[in-house]
Amino acid sequence: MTVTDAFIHPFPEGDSTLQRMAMTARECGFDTIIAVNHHPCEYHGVRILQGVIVTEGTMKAVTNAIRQKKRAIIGVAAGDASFNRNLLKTPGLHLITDLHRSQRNAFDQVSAKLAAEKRIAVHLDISQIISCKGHSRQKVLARYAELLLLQRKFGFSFAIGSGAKSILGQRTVGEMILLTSLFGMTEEETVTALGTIPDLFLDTSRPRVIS
Amino acid sequence: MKHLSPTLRENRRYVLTRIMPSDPDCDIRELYYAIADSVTSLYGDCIAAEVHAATILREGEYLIVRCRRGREKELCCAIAAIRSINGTQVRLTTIATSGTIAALRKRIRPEKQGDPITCTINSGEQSGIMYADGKIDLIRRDMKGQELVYLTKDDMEKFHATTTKPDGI
Repeated sequence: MTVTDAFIHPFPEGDSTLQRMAMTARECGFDTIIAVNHHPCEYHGVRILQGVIVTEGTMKAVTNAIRQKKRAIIGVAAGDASFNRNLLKTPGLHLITDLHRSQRNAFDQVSAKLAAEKRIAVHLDISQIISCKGHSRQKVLARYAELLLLQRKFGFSFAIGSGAKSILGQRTVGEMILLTSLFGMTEEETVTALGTIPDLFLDTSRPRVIS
Repeated sequence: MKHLSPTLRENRRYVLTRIMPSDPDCDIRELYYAIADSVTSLYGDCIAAEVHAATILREGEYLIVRCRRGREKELCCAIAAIRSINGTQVRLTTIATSGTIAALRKRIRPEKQGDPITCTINSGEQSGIMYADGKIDLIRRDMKGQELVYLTKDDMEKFHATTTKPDGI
């Protein structure tokens, strides 16, 4: 089974190069990583996928990214409720990110149903639990717990990532399981979420053989 | 003073952790405060009292932390949530949990010794440490101060860097 770290930020954005982060990812138990703004390749037995995060908050920027980066995992930072619903209807999108920053009603049951239907995953950034303290960490944990409730009811996918900008920010699979348990995720749910990305990346327009 | 009989003593568990980078500017007391802080901020004072975390010994890049039996999960989670000590970014990785310190001591590997190197990147000289597995920790100095950059031997070719060891080779 594939174990993917969704979104790492290597050099020049961070202080560690892609190869070094790939080495660390292998030691941490990952076999795939999504590197933001890096070309797909393979280092030290770790498959590296290209990732794009659209933060502009406009549909124009989203459609441009989908058109230009056809072989990339595309994540879009969430906005208000109407923007998120429009996003979830956009073909070619893989992930909706930064939901902890959006308002509570920005991702409701309608959005959850749409995400499950269109096979768009919700990205959970573990670095937010590590880097935030006090009230902001409580907000992140509460938001993730709400998303988990919706996920259990409507069955959309989660994608978990360390959001690391350095090898010191990367976490092992075991640590990911511990940190996600803080908002009530079980071990099975975390392992499933870590294996979500390859399913999303399959080209759904092509016919597939289902054994 | 008479000691408590073994049946009355609390059961403890010991957690072996590895510190990265291997030589952070912090002593065992600062590591203890970082762990205690993390447990308290994640679980609150009540659970922190039940965890009863304490640092036992530090051997190079390894640290053994003690907690009450049954609270290992909370301790490991709090250790994973540590990001920095005294403003320096660190990572503490849990390696093993055991009921005895002796069992954990067996898991401690000798520290990897790296060769000090000097690199020339874009006509600027930078010092660092190169390890046997091809990892390089480079110290980048600029006007703001200095910071560590993590790369590999293959990356040096990409940056067109020339590497020299202290002996000039």
